[in-house]
Amino acid sequence: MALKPLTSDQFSYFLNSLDDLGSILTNNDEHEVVFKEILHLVMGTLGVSRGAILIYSARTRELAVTTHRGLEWEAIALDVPAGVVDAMLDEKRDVVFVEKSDGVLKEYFSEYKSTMAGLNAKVWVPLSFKKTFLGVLSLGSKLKNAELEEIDLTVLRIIAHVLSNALYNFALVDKMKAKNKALDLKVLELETLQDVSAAIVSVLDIDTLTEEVLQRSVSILDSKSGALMLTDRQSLVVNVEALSEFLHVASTFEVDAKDVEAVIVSKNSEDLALCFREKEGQILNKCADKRLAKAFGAQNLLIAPIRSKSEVIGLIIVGDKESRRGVVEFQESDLKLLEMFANQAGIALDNARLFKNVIEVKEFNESILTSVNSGVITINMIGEIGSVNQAATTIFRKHRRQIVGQHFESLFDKDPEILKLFERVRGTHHAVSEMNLSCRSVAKDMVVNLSVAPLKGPDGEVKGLVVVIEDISAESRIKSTFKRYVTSNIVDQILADEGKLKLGGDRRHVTVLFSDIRDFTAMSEKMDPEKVVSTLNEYFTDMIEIVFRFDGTLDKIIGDELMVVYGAPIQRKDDAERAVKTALEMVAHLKKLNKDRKKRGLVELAMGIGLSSGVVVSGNIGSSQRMDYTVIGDTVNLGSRLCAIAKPGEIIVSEPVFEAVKDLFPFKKLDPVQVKGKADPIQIYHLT
Amino acid sequence: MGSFKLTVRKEGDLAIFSTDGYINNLGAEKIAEGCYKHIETGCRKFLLDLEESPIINSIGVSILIEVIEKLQEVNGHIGYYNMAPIVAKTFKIMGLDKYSTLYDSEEEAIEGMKNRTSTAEKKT
Repeated sequence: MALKPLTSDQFSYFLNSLDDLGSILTNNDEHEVVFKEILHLVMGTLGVSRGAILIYSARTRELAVTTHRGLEWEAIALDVPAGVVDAMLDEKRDVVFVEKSDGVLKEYFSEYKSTMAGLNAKVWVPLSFKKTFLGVLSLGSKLKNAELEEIDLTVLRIIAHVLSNALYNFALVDKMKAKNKALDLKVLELETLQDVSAAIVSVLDIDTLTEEVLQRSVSILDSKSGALMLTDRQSLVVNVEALSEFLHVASTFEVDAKDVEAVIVSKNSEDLALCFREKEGQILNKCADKRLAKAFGAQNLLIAPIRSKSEVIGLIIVGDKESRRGVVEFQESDLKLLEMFANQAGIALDNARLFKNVIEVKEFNESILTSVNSGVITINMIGEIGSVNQAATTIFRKHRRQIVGQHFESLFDKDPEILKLFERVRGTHHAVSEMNLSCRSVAKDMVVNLSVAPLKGPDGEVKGLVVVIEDISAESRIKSTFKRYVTSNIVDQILADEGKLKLGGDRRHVTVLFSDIRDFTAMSEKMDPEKVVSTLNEYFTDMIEIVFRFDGTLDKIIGDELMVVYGAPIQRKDDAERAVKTALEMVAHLKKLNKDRKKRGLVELAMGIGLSSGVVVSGNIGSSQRMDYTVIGDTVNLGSRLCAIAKPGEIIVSEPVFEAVKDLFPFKKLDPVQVKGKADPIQIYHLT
Repeated sequence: MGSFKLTVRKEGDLAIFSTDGYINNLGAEKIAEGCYKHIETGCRKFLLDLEESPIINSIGVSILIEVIEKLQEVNGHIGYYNMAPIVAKTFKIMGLDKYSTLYDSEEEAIEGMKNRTSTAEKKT
């Protein structure tokens, strides 16, 4: 049929319509907007007042209105049988007049008569692309029920063709979007896996790690709930075979740990036991174990074993996969994903447990090193200090960071003797110990005991040196202070029990012994000074040896006078007894000495001794420049007076001394004497 | 983590939703419901404080995308702050950052949203 010639206005109008169609398609609007505008364009161009575009879903095999105009339409879908689709794809039926249709289409329209009436459908233009049915452009009557002319049909075909292409493109775009979304989700899965892998090296705390792994698993699988359980290797389970199945809840998400544990620990679930036996995960859609499902508040569960090497060390369980349509069943792909997480978690947990063990061992070792009083230093092969304990920092009076990393030579730069020891051990690999070494690198008066040994690794290979250093400066100072006064035995006792030592001012009961050489001043005036000194040295050497033998404290030597204290700095029950024994021994020894001196043609010496007992004040007395440990008080003065009273070879004691030792030694009571500083005469005794 | 909670406060023309819990189907639906109610009353600017929601799933994301599309229809906008790194990463991977804004802090978020002029406002 030949086309009726168009007027120029009609021609221009159609051209404008086609131009508008181009604009609609290139405006980049949403699908619905494009469909709506095309529908309006068609209807406006053809003078149709009612119309709709229906989109076909191959999945549901339904036609559904996506946009309409002029209709009071309630959205219902039309089923489309395969025969109707085939009829729609028939190229001869590019425009279907509903009332004039035949065959399957006639039957179809008849079946959906009311729907077609609702659509006010007079003309259906099938929309298709490459034999794929896409939908229908449904139009009502032209204004005043005018018939569609051939030119209208031509325009309609052109627009339908463009609309079909647009529909196909939109479908492609939708598919691409869906693919992109799926791709994004895959990227998210991979990123999450990567995050979990990163956590393996960054998170070494087991609690944090289990929570991280569980949350990521729940999130990436769109689950509602989950729990991560670990076997309790530390638990005291007698049955070793049961050990691998004894679980505790390490972390939960949206479930109560107690509920889960009640099921898990009871080991009622055969499904869980299967994971241990088969070492494989399970999909439990519509979970048959009602207790397990109840614990997770989920109908579908996914379980993946957490493996460490070939052993199952725990489980991850997630519950109910979500979708916009509600809960959906878990798929094999979900299980694979969860198993990947579980595998990563296995490695991570192994690392975390290993790290925890290492930390515990390290802390244990450090607590040992911290609790020892000796300083411990390790030195590596190139001589750098690798570690120091607390005691070492105290000894060196430095912060740990000032020591660690330094070369040992810088730490002992003023102690060549110590450095030689280090070098010797480095060369021989044999341990050495030295005592009373001066350590001037720290302080002028520091004295240390030092042990240096090769530091060996587990394979016995030498890795450096370990140095144990003990600061004995205080002990050394005490020894040097007291060795002038007391025997080394007493010093050791003082150091062994510092509680006995009271160096501050202190009142205590002591026995004081005074001795002097009679007329020594007159004697010395007739002697060469060298002879005086040698005589005194000979005399004092022997006498002091006796004093020390009886654990007396040599208080002072003044000229030819000797002052000895018993009961300070350490008090004993037999102080008076030892003082008397000392006096007797001194007298006896002087007799021997005089015999010897006589043989040598030297002048004989005569000695008097006085002993008194009583309370004195003891302590380090003097100034900051010079300070001596001594005792002061009436008892001291009395001892000195009694010494002065004593005739040569005589031992005079006061009443308290007599009372203390009267059962041990023979005494003779003497007449009371008046002594300076005492109002009344005092009773004295002579040791016979 | 217990059931999802949503609290809302207004700062001028800005609605700030603080979430607490898993942003899954349930949680995101609550957010969407809250947004739609405010859209009906004319609110066009929304902020989500996600500090107490360290976990989100893809259903939650898809519902948020719907909220974003709904807001685009009415020239509105939504932003987020206090996000856990994994949530921020998820938003970026799923492309939410192209149509909504991820802020580093509450101050920055409120300032950014207040200074934001909707397309409708621009036209007027």
